[in-house]
Amino acid sequence: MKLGVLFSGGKDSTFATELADSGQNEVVCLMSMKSENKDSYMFHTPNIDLTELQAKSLNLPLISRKTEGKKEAELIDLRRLIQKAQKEYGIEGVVTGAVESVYQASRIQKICSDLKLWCFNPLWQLDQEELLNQLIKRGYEIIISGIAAYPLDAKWLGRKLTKAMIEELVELRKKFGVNPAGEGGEFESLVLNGPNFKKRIQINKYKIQYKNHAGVFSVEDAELK
Amino acid sequence: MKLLIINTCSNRLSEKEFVLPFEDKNTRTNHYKDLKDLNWADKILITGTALEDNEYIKDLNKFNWLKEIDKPILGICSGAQIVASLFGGKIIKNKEIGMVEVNGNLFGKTRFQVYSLHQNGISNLNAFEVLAKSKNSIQAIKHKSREVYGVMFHPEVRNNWVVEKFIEV
Repeated sequence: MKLGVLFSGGKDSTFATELADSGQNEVVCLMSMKSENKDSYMFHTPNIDLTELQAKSLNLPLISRKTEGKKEAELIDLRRLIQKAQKEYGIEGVVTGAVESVYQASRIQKICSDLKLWCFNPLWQLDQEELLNQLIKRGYEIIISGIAAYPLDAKWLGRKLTKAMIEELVELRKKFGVNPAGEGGEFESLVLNGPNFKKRIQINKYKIQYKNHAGVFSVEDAELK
Repeated sequence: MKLLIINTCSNRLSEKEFVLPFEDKNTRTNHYKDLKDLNWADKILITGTALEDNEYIKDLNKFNWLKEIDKPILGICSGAQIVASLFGGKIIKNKEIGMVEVNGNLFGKTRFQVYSLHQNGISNLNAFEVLAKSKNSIQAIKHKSREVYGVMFHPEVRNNWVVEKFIEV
């Protein structure tokens, strides 16, 4: 089955891309929504322009679409993006990196159902700690690109995901209820390398913006190495 | 307690979503087209599958063993449709996606939110008692004389207690 992946460049959609491209299925394109709403519940926003470089490294075509990110109207934009992939790449199914968010998953399921497309969520209900450990085990290089929850602070921005970081996140879940995989929007991630990447993304220049436990690690210049 | 999971997915990628959440060290999984462990099992769970996957409906005759086997069974979504159909019920068109409120009495719980993800529903349930309903769907059934249950919603999302109770009962 030809599949298109809803791709943000974060850990979950990148891992979902790897899992989807096997057996009966072939990933034929990536689809990215570029939301102007930094607080979108639907779409990941930090460094979304880097998806172009990631797609090159994954050797997959990328189609993208801008959205103002207004609730429900952004779903019309998403539907149009998926329809474009249907028309241009003949996708028969959509893959997402949804883990727990019923809000995201049910909205995407509805769009897929209307368009008679299959919908796959290969990380669905996966234990958060296990998900992070699997990413490290498979050789993904991931950094924290955004934070939005107490007690996360500026020192987290740009940090690489390691076993030690997973332990810290698990502790934060116990003390503060922070979801270790950032599924509640506590943090956003950026994948620099992975088992299906042809080349690693090297960051040449970045900027950190931070205030009151919210911040972004913005990549200003990067290249494939 | 040995739980046999019957996988109803026709695309292997769906198994990560509809089968994997139920698997642990006390379970074995067989696809319905390759049943090997019916004798091993104490109880049987029949999984759901993707919204667009209707292959199990073409293969209902592969589930005739359900009528003979004397073991507790829990069918989830497509599994509930299979169970209903094998005992005289009908599979009908009834799309429902997202969280819905359920009322009734399922393993002692009377009112709760569930995640629904189905294109089909169930009707003509003369052999069953309806345990719980949402506004637009029958959500939980039990066979009148056997330990055979069906839930149209997906308990792997926020309602793991349903499977835990089924295992306990």
